[in-house]
Amino acid sequence: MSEVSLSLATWFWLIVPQSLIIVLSIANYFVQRKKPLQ
Amino acid sequence: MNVPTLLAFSLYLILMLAIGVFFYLRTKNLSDYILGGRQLNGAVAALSAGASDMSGWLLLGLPGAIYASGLNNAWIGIGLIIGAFLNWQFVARPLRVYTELSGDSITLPDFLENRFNDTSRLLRLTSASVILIFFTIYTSAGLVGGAILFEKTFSLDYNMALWIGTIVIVSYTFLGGFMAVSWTDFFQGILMFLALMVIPIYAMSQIGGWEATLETVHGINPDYIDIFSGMSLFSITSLMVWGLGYFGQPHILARFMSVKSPSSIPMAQLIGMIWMILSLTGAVLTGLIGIAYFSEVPLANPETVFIALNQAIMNPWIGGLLLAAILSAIMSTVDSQLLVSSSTIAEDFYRKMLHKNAQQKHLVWIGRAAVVGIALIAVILASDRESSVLDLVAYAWGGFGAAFGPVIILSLFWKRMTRNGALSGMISGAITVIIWKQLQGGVFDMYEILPGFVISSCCIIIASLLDKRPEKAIETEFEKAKKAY
Repeated sequence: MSEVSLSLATWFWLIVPQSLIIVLSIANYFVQRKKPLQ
Repeated sequence: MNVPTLLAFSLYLILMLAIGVFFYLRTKNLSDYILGGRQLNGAVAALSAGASDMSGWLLLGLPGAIYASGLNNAWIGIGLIIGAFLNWQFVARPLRVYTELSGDSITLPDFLENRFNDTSRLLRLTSASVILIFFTIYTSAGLVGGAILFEKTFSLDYNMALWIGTIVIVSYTFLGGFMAVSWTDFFQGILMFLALMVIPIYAMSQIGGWEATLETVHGINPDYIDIFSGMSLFSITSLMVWGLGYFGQPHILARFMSVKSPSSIPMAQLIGMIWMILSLTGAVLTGLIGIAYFSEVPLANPETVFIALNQAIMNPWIGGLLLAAILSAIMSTVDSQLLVSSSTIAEDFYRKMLHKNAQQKHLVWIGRAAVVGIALIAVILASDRESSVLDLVAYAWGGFGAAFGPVIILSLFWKRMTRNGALSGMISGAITVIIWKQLQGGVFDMYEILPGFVISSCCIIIASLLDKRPEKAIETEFEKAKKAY
């Protein structure tokens, strides 16, 4: 088993902003879906 | 010549031409030709925005940078993802709504003139000229990239390769206009995505998995797997602010304006962001895996890491198709820029300045003639691949971002903004980028888009506040648009 791994900070920046953006885009989809067109 | 690759390329090029012919039969007026009659499906808008945004950089430049110096180059990708998300989230829907409400504007210069009721034509002339000059050069640089790929893949003469690539791109753009460009971008986006998923996953399995890859890369240089290696807050910021460029790219904003309905934008945003995040992740992994795969005989040119991995691990038939992904990345950017330039000539110069009552059929042919004319100029520029004119491309992303970004955002959200504010923002943003780029050392090492964006925003605010309040009709239209955001 290898002992080499990415640091926590590297994992954070490679995963968290991207995942957050997908979650926010999904939330936006559900919020906007209910919004009536003017 | 490699037969499977040649066949894969030919199949791909025939599909692009077929799309052009299909939409040729459906193009009735200028709005159809340069904005698809605002009938673009959300998923196509999403992938075509992504594909036209990401040039050959996605498959050559980014994996090459990671291969050459490790994960610290991923910051630019993170910045781009955040910028693209903010653009979809805050600009896409308002721009779609406002451009239609404001005189059914079909180009950005058209929108700016209508938004501020600018009878002097100054806003239209300034913005249209900037778009035309820079996109012609941008198109030319894209053609150089495509020709070099053809030259290397098929051992073709550079000029012959340049003409083949140009004829294919011009053919489908000439025939089918915006819809053909968007649908070809859609398929090109799928191909780029598949290539960036298949190659790193398959290559990693050949090496022995994620941990084995990481161990090999760490053995070569432990800094390669540290995103903070050699980075300061200043250098990270300088890379991440590339994302600001999205707010001012005319070929990407055109996708927002063309979506069938504002209500289809959230789904398009979701699809677009997933595509972008996975594609960029694939590009980063390609570079990282390349370090491990070619650990014994390193590549002479880091930018060929995608091509080298493809050749080393893939079956020639699949490999040929995946190689077409690079051509896709280049073509999807070139065709969009070519069409935006053509729309500037047909709508902003010809229809609005010279022939106001021209018939729609006539205007479509002006648009088509403009596609051919601009392509010819671009080919002439590209025939000398060392031409210093092509260096101007380095100004384009930052220049468009700083000159148009703050103008577009504030025009959508600030009622008090005036025509003079917009003009001063556009000019100051462009000038800041040009001057900042000439200077080096200390604060001037920051990517020029950031100071350009800040100065442009300040100039818009100051000039608008010093100006007299916008007319009542402009404010009423703004309120109406804002209600529909």
